[in-house]
Amino acid sequence: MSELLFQSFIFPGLFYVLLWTVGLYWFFRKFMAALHKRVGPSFNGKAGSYQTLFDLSKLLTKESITPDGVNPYLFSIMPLLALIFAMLPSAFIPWMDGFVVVDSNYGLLALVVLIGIEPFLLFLTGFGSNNKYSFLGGIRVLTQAISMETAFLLASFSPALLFSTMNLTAIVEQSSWFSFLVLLPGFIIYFIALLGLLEQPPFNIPDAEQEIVYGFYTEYSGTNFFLLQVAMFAEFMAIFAGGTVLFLGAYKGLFFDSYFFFFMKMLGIAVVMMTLRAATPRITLTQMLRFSWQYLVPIALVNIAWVLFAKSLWFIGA
Amino acid sequence: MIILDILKRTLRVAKALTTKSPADRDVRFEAMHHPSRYRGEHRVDYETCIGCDSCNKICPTHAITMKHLPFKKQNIVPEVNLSVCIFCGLCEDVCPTKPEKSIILSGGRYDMLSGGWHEDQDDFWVHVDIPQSYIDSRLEEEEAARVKKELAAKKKAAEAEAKKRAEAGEEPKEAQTGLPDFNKGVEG
Amino acid sequence: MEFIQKLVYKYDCEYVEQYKKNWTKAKLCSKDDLLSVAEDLLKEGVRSLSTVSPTDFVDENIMEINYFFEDFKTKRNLWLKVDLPREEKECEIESLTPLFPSAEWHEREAYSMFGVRFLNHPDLRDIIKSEDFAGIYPFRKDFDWLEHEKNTVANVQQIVDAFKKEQEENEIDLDTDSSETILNWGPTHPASGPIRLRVHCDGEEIISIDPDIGYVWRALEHLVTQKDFIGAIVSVERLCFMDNINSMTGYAMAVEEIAGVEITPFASWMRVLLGETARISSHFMGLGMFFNNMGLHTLAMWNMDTREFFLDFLESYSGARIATASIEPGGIRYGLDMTMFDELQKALDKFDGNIDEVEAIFVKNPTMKLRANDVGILTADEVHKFGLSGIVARASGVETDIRIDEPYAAYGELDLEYITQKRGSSKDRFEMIFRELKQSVKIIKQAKAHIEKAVEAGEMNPTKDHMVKVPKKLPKGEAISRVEWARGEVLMHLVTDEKAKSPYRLKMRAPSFNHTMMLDYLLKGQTLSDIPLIFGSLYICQGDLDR
Repeated sequence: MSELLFQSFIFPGLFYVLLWTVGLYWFFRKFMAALHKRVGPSFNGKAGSYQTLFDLSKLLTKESITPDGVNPYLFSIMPLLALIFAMLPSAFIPWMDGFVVVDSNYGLLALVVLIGIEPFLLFLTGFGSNNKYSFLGGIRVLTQAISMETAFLLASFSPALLFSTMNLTAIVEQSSWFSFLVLLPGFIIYFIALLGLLEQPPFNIPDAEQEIVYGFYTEYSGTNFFLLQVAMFAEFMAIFAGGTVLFLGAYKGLFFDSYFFFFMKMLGIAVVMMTLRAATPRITLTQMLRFSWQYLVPIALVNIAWVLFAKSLWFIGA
Repeated sequence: MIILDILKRTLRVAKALTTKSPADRDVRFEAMHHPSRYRGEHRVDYETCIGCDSCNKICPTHAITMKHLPFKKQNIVPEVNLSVCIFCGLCEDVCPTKPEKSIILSGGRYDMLSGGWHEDQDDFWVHVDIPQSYIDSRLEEEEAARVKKELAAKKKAAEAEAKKRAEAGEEPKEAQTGLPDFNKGVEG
Repeated sequence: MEFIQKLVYKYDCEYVEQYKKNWTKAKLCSKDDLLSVAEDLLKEGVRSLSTVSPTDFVDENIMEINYFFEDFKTKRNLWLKVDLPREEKECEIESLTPLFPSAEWHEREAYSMFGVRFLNHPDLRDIIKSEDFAGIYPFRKDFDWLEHEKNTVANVQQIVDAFKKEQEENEIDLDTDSSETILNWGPTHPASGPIRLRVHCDGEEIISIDPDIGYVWRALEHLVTQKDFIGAIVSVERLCFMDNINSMTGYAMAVEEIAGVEITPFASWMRVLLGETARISSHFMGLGMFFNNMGLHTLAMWNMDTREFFLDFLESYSGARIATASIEPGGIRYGLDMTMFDELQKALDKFDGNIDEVEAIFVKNPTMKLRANDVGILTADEVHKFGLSGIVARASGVETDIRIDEPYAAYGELDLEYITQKRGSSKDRFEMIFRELKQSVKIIKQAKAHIEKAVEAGEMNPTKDHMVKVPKKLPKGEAISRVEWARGEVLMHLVTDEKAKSPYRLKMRAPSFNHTMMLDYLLKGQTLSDIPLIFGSLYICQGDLDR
């Protein structure tokens, strides 16, 4: 019982997610600043390390304004639900050697389904605010999620096909340098699809500040906004961790296995995402749809064919 | 292919990580660039100001109010309302005092901070604090000058009076001794 | 020139005369001839109407209207004047909008500010001024501003009532079962600045756009009449204070023409140098703004890095970084200390070090090409019809640049050439800003070398030659001056009275006015994502839009 409490509240539960949010947010701001030839936060704490903690806790002290005419269930309960659903996938991921909260034979399926529900919840938040801009933002989230989900699904099933199992710990045990090379095209497709799911440039269409004010975040303030922000970062964690587990071999390191390498691999994906963010402008909704259905999904199907071909050659008996 | 183009540009953007940003100072305490012509907070010199009112007349936003002093001449000095002033520097250009102007913005303070309450905003001015000793010394000077002028005027009036009498009559002047004329009325 | 003069001579005129090299100045006797003159001009090929500007002569009971016709191809221009009676009921004249579409908003402005009514205008509504001025005309000389400002609370209530009435119409009159709606792309939007666009859209597709401007209205044209000729520069420079120097140059040139004063060569060359520095400062922000509207902030940040060094030079010279107030009638305001050129050289070196990276990453960016290459295309014919100028005109292939057509302030001694692009899409306008940035740096280098050489040879004295005395009271007269501002063509029309200490009327024609007029035309049928893109590429500044 106490072990369950520890796992749900400290690691990999609530406290871990909050620590990850504060730390990753600080890292994003300093890294973007260095790319922009700026300095970033530098006044609170050494190199501004307390800044994001202060910013996020300031949100908890502000008033959560509920506008007139909103649907009370959709507006106020959805952020909490979004946070819970975003934190659930971390229960299926093997963080360290021999440590996983729920060891199930369908871990991969659970991961993909839980990650895929998020955009629907965010659409409902946009639908529930009594605001034209939020509604437009919600529709954009749904359109983008449906297109990118397909490629995401196809790409994340390729390790399962290669190793003939959906159990995440088994996938990690059987991965090696050679399997990484075979799965490399799948990893690239997974990376592009994750840009679409997380609304990062060049696919940051639902959160287009310059076009539709703030999308579905427009009417939120105070504690509601804090919950949505933590949900966004929890989603980052779920998807990065999923990518590391499926393709990059989780905690396997150079000379010894440990959680440190897991963290470094997640940070590597974040660094590439950030640098891409500083170099590409946004594309429009129709261009994104065309790109996804005309190029990305067919290439994902071809990738599955390649993985099956490679399995028949080198991975018989796996 | 477009994806390769995007990747090439991403790598070039990443090169910016190697340059150090020039923002290395805390500008609350020292400015990055503070030239001698910088138009900052006004410094008014009440001793050299001649009270010509030119700065008030040229100010485009009427930010200058003249403070009255209890003297006869040169009795106004400028005070500036910093909430209204646009720091154009025309008042400094037009001030006729030499060798240094009486109202100067060049090289002035750049951190003009007022307090945060409403009452502080009402007092966001550049005031001229004139010590009582200066007022007293100026009043004394004026008094001395006035007395001197009066004496000089009296002396001049007396001289003019004497001159007039010397021109008017050729009679010998006995009145100098103050005694009556004993010779008068003796004829006969 | 002869074409225009012959044309105008056919009608009854009070006078027709040649004004400077390219302009003919004429005054019609009767206002009914105006339409025929306009039709004849169209047949001759003069297609652009720059602006319409009334002047209120309250003592003579006359409202005089000035029309400025321009031809970009052959550089023949006509300045036409017509007298109207001053009372509000009789102050009306035929509208030129059916023949010259660029007059649409200018006539609306003349109506809002002066009360001149234009017959057969397609859409004569109030523009720029707020709703508490409805029915009263603030720029007439007998309008009492202080009296109007006394009941502030009633004024604000009037504005709020008008806005609420409009919102009710938006929500009720539209069919609530369809997906049509009216969005306020409004003043508190992250990408718009202080302007409101009423976007009538169906889902994400746009049906029409109606701009609502006037959020930055400072009535600069009235403020100038309250100050003397030197103090007026602080009002003129706030046209848009990113590029403040070129607008002050235009005003100073008009005052010098009326006073009959010639400035020294040193002042001319310094005006060129300072003007190009201010143009660079404005273009850096324009480049960054275009990419900001697409979600990429890196270019804006890198540009700010280089721009700070140019602002350091302006601060060493004049004492302020952005609103410098450094050009006065008679020359330039401060003398030059030759050590300031070292700071300018540092800025130029930093520019040369960075510009290749910027060009390779952002000007040749494939995603930007994907977004901006087919959107917002303006043809050369539309440039002539709608009176566009500056970058927008040159990006569509029209060769018009006031620095070359009517040279002022030492531009005649530089070697300049027209820079144009062919297609006129948003991407072409972005590239135009970039190429003009490089051209400005070349001009600065030429001007700097020339001044240094002349100072060494002893022909110019940098500390004494900067200012020529202009008399405090000017005679009665009027003058126009055109300058190539960062965003387009600025035309200043100055009118002075007998023994005047301050201007009687100053008209500042702003280029962003015509550009914002084009938004409805360009955005019909596009999607919501294209609004910030096209808006950013037209290089609009709300400061000179509203004045």
